[in-house]
Amino acid sequence: MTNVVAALPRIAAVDGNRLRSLILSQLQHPELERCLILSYRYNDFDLRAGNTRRESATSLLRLLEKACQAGVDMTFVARNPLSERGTPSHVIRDWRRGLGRLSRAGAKIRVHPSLHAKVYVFKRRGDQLMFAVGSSNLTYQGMGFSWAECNVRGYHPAEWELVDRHALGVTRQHGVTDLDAWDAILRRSGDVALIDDVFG
Amino acid sequence: MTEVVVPRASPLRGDDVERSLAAWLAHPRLEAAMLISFAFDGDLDWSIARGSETRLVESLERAAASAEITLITSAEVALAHGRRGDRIRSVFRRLDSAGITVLRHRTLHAKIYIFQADERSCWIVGSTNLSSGGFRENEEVNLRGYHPEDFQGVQAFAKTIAAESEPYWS
Repeated sequence: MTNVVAALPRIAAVDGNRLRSLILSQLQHPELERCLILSYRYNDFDLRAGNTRRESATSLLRLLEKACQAGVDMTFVARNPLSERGTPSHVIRDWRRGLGRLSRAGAKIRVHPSLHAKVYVFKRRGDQLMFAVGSSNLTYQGMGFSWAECNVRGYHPAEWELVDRHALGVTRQHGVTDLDAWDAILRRSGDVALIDDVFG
Repeated sequence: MTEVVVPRASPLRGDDVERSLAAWLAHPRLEAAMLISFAFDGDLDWSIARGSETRLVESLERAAASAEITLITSAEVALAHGRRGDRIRSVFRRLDSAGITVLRHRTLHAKIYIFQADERSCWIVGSTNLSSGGFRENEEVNLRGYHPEDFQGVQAFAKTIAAESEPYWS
């Protein structure tokens, strides 16, 4: 760990705004090696501008894509939106398009049947580590633009390893699929309107 | 000699949070607890610890006999309409009568649980709500720690949320 990190509190509570800054700075760091994100919801593209539809060069989706293209080993786990009745089709479409782009950029996408956790794990070269666990989804609302959130972040290897191991365990649970398997499930569902909206 | 570093926080699933809450609320020397949760299961048709018939509301009432208990939930949940809202109001009335401070927060989404007993303190922060979904149905991840320095930070954060909240009965 660098002296700067060592001087910070080992564990600290952070709100959505602070977490957003931490995540954006990790994603843009040239030394980022690995990234594991568990987020119940994911359907917003631009956290920085606070606009859920319009993308900018520094939008979250672009930063995630760029990180993947730069060789970051990224795993992204989100909840299956079909597991919750009443999820609007445009939300499912945005969710699928965002994750599809990440998948094409090289991210490993996992779809979880009952995920509600929000976990962010980063590893940079030289064993510089960061994790956050809490209530913030990777969305406009979760990242400080509207809801009061609480997360704890840490940099110490002792806690980081426990969080990383636990989060990796979630990615391997029964019922977790990749995006292709999720697509197949949707196509088999026979919901023509939804299939058209998502893939049309 | 290699230095052994003990982790100051460890991950908990939803059912672990349930067990931890049950244990802390039953602690004979509990002094204070603050429970902050976006959702609150008004039906309370679940027991807080497996194999126990005790419900959350009863655990809170018992704990409030000797400890200072604060419950903060989101206005969205606290001000729900219909049968669900009626049930929540009736539970909150019961908690209020037991001396529990019940607050509502306009934009709350956080889930924070803090406990103090004797010289010991505990914090839990994560995704688990006070609900059957949070305890049993969803895949949740939380962190729990006991270190005084970390506790102070989480407690200060929780107090900020409390300061932004208003009394449920206002």
